[in-house]
Amino acid sequence: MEAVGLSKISFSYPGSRQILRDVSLRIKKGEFAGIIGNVGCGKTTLLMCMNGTIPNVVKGEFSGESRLFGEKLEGRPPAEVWGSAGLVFQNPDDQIFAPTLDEEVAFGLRNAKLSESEVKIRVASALEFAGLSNLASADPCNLSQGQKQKLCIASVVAMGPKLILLDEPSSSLDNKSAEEVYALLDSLNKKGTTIIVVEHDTERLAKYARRIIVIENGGIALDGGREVLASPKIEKMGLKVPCSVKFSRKLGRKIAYSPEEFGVGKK
Amino acid sequence: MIKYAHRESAIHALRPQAKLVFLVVSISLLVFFGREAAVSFGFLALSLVLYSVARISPARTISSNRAIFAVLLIPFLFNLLAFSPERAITNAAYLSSVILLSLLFVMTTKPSDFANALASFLVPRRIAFAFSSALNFIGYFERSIERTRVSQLSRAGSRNPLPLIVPVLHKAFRKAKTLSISMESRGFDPDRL
Repeated sequence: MEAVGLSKISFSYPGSRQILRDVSLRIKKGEFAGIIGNVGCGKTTLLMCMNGTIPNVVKGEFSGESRLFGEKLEGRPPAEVWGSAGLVFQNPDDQIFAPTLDEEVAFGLRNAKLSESEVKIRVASALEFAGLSNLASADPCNLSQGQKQKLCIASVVAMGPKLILLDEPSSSLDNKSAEEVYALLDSLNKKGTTIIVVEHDTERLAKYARRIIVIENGGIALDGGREVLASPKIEKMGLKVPCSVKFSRKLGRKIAYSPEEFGVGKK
Repeated sequence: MIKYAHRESAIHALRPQAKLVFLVVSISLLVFFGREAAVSFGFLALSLVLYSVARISPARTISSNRAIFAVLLIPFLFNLLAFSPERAITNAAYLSSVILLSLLFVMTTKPSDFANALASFLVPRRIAFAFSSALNFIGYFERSIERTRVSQLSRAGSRNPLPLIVPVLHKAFRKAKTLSISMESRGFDPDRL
């Protein structure tokens, strides 16, 4: 089944150049897809088209058709599709607003009018999933950036969406925190949640994503499996080629997409 | 910081409606009888006791909200110069009690509980939610101002507060925009409030 279906999407913000041009994209249920591209190429805009934020909340010149799990998104703002798609933005500081972690996670559940006992169960389970159980009553301002990002993911996971969209979740994280965040996403994907990530970190995508979509000038330049990351076009566009791909090439070996595949750590 | 501070205390555990009624009654009494030294100092002593029960340090509260308490200097000096030292001190005690009790309410009541308490007193849900959201934003503004100020000072900026306004407002608008989308994607619909 199709999780996301975009047909000939074009979009421009008011008074701005065209950001997306005739983008058509199908993402199947259960996929872990990564979207890469240079700054300003339209990655985040594309992400916002996938849950109906564009054109229902963020206004501009929009044409085309977007579908979520087969249903048309036009006229259905994100507040109506929360059970299907959750959105996590790049900067956790812009999203977190509650005074404690449990309140932040409970926000969406209370909007869904769940009973307080159900809210408590789901909050505890989402915080445990994110490894933040011991901080339930803490002030989110005192968390590390990695913990804040995990909290944002937990508050979306608590809603039980079938699709999670993330905008550069590792952009302000150190290597360890980024790895932890991706491990969470991987475990969700293994349970059947469709994951779509806009990302600059091609190393991380090479390890976790099974589909890579490259955006250039508002259109899809490349779309395929991880082999896309070894395409010469990636280097031409100025995007980072994963180290393991570079080393494999240098050594004339079969292309490895992650240090583990390359054999790092093996005796 | 003007924001909820979690503690395991009897005051935190009280029903928000009870805290709200107590706050409104206390402030009303202070407004009507605050010129009596016994009332002003009585409420000041009561607020210090309540802080102790709530396990919140009044000294730290005053220190982190010193800008608010600094404003008290204006009526204090006015009363001192225009009337008498006794009246200046009583007035300062009255205003300090109002501020301390209000801060205590905010620090011991979760914004969502505050919104529910207001709604239970028939305040429209939209207004109750706007109130509690505004409370959340105060802490954000404080942090944003502090970070921007330090950033400007580290680049040889002056202590003039005016250059802070544009970046702080810009950040606040950006946060409000992202936050509103994030809230909507978590099922928030203002029309259903």
